[in-house]
Amino acid sequence: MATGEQLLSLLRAMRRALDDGDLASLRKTSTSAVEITAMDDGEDTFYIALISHMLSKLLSRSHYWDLKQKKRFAKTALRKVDKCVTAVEKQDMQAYSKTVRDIVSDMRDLEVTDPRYVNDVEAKARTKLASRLYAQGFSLSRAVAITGASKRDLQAYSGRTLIADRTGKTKTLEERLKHLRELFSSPILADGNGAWSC
Amino acid sequence: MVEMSFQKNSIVCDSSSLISLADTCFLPALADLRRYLGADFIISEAVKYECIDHPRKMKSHTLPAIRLQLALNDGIIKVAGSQNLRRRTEDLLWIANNIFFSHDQPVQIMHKGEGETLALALELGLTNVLIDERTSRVLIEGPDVMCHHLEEELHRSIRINNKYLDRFQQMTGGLSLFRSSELLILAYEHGYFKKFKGLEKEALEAALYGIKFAGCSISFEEIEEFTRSLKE
Repeated sequence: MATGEQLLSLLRAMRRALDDGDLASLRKTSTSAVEITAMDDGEDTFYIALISHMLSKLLSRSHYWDLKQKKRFAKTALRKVDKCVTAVEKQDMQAYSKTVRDIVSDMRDLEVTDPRYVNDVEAKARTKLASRLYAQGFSLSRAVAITGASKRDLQAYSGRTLIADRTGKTKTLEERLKHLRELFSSPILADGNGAWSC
Repeated sequence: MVEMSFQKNSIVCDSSSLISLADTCFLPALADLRRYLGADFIISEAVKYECIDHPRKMKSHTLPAIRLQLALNDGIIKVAGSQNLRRRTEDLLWIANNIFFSHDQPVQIMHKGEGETLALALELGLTNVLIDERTSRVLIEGPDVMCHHLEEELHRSIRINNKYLDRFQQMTGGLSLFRSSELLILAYEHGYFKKFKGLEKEALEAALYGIKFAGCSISFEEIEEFTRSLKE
């Protein structure tokens, strides 16, 4: 579990970035939070990663908001982040958990206003965070377990990155093929009904 | 779970490979290879859940899951288990997740999904594992590579617990790992791509890129090198 200090530091960084409308800092906070989540195996910090990432995406899309609505949303989010800070300071983790989930829920509710992509933002944020963990060296299933992303989405996303190109070469393709060819060296054509398709 | 016995050349499959193969519609290649090999492609319950049961509840992922369900119904892949599988999986995960340490804290890199696949192979006494996922493969084949990678990525010093690494290597050292990319190349060598009539080599190249984009951890360099050798 992350320490209270770590949580407070992340929450304050998220608050500052949200208050300043600093999208780059929101993403940076998200990255730091997901790294702590992976190391400490805790949900508390994961929500900060998810919220920061979603906020950075939502707030960056100017066409999505008229200015008034954006300000109102940011204000509500700020108030709830403050509530989170207070809860952690008082070591009331139940209240903290409830409030962070509330913030995610508020963002989901935006879907009602514009059903185009808010849910998508959450799924994409989870996939993106999972991909970051996979890139760092955590296994696919571990990344999925931490973030709640879909494994298929994660594979499709990471497959289009250079993750497999950067690290992962331990044996050559030819070495692996050699073993596989040996395995199939005495083929047995078992009884079958011809080609199978699906 | 009914304990079953399988031929020694049977292949235990991880969900990462089945997802790649189902997404790219190459499960029939598995069926063809199964006929040639006369052995089975085996999965654990956890893998079945990850690539069939769970995605079938998600509208956007149902179709590939149905393809896999059909493969299961038709015996192309088989679910297997053993009485001791849970314990073996827990042991393996405990060991794997205590190999790397940062500031005296273990870096838990592996999860039940991959752990159960490896444990199933060990429980059934099989050595061949089909896995597209990178982390488990690198951990087994090159733990030093993984350690260096973690240090670079997490920006912290990583210490290897040699006692656990030795135990992990004793457990998994006998496993032969390969990816769906190698399986497709083998299918090509056994004539699976003949249906692409004159475009076999091009189709294989496309298939390798397709499988990479579906999550198989093969690098562009490996694909390029192999396809160059095809054209020579």
